[in-house]
Amino acid sequence: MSRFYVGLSVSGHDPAFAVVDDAGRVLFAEATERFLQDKRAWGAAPDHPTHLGDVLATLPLDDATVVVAASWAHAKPSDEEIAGRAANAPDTAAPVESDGFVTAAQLSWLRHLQRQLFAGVGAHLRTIVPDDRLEIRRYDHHLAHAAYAAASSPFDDATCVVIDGEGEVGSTSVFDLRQRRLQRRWRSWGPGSLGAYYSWLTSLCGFDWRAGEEWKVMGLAALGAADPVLVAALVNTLVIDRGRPVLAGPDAFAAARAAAAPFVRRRGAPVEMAAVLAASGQAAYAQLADRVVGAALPDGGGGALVLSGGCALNSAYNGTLRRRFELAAVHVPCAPADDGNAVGAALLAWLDAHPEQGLPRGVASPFLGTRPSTREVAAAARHMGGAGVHAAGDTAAHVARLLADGRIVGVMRGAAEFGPRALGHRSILADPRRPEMKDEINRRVKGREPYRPFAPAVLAESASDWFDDAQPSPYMSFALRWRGGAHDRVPAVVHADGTGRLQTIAADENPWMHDVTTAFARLTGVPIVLNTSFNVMGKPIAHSVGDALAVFGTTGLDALVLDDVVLEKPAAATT
Amino acid sequence: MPSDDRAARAEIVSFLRGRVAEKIRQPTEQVLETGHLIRDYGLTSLDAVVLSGELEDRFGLELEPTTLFDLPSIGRVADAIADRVAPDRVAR
Repeated sequence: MSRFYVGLSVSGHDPAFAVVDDAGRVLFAEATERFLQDKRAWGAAPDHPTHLGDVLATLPLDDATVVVAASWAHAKPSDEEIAGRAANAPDTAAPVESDGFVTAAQLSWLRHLQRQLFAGVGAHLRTIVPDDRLEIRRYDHHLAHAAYAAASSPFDDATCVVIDGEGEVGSTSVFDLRQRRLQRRWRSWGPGSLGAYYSWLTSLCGFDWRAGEEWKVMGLAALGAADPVLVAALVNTLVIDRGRPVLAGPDAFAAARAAAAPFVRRRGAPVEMAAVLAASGQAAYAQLADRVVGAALPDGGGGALVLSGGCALNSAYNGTLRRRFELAAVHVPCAPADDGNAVGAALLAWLDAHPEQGLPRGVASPFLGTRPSTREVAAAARHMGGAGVHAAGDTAAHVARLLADGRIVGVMRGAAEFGPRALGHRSILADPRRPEMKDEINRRVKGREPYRPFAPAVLAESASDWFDDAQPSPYMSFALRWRGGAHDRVPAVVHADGTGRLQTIAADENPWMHDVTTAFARLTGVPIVLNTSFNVMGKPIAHSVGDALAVFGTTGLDALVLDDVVLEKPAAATT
Repeated sequence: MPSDDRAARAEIVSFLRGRVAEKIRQPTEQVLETGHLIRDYGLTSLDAVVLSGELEDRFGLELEPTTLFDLPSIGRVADAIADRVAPDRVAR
């Protein structure tokens, strides 16, 4: 009798589900935001009937047992429960307090969403699978982060650090990975949190962390110079006690607020106003994170590091880790934030059923999501009036020629990427050699702010020719410094601070993108293409063929790849 | 209770009394095994959370998030967790 493990991310934001089979293979994983086309999908259930149903329909469920695995072990306390605890504490004034970084109302809302989603685990699956073949399990939040991160790493042994907003009891956990088995070494308790710190920084910069605008702070940081006094004040909001973040208290917080006040930007004001704050806040984050990572690593450095939790999306910081801590290697999974916990929880359920085994291997591919409907692709090829259709032979070579000619190409091929980065399956590709290309993509397609960088996808075998300290970065987890001369050769993908958040493309991991980039290199001498996510500003990455066609039809995209069909607009149509 | 657990229990009680005494700035003798951590010694919710972390670190175990709220006296906490203390964290 077969068993399937359905992991559900039930944080209340970034819901996702994943399916793992009895061999420990990840059959599917996808964030609900893609299906709903609603960024971060706040408050949405991860097991939407249609989204999950389409995947379950492909599985032989007739006599299978389904283990539902939730990404939290406990529901957060309600406001009433917190008030009850405080009632026993004579000097606790307000029942729900701000932790300094996030307001009391926001904390209450976050807890409410988590409680709601946590309570609903399995409710929908019970309508599909009879109770005698359904098991419901709940797993520690940071352990779920660690399980996916460690399983997708190539390491047998490593230090695994999870840093996020908050788990069951605190924001930070450290695990030892030994022979593919995880053991928590310690975790922090209480409201000190680097994730909450970054949310606060995002708000001070005039952006909205609920919309996931931390990216904008990171991008903006390259445009400003960190102010040392401000950096020190921001660092002082947290004490890092043996690696554990602890709130420094109201005085330090008031001092940081006062120091930041002259640099704060109101929402809607010109973004450049917040550049100094963004740079200082990012520098402070790096100092704080260094103290966490330094305390976690045996002897303060060396060995292999696995980093996960939402803070592991800070690619500018991640890119500094290997050199500073003299690490042999660093691994960040493709979905280090809470969406990734759907896989993590499913893997933990699998491990419970296979206690003799360590974490499974072969779960490193990010291509785990929905595939384009072949029927819809065929219909588009037949009925796309006005667009040329290239449907034969080598799409990679054809796309490389389009790119070299300066065309902007949308790509929807194969299984969607799991995690926030487009890695060539749901991407917009362009020629990085053209200095005007960044503005062109923003003007014609994405509508993003001009200061935000676009990423380079580089052949893995060429990465060290172009980057200092090149390291594998298959999921764009690390921003590294370009070698000299890059600014002249690939100006569209060099950030203001001389870095690039590179994707390294290996032939065996990402064959089509490898073919495109190799063909592009043959034409141009540059083994790099510009790769940005296939979406328009503020929207999740395109999910259905219809989403892709809508972007193609309503923006200045020149061509659209749908699996092995290429749709092209007439050359003059898009400018 | 096996003797190993009794030794662990005694160390937990001693550790908690010391930590609570430090937090409330009273001599250790003033902190009793039977006292209510929050009502009798005035610990805040945050104190209880921080103390939970210290307990985990000191004794190499994992507590439920609500242990110190559900079992609010030092003695009852020690009873509940003595058998889970990591062997290398207690002098025996």
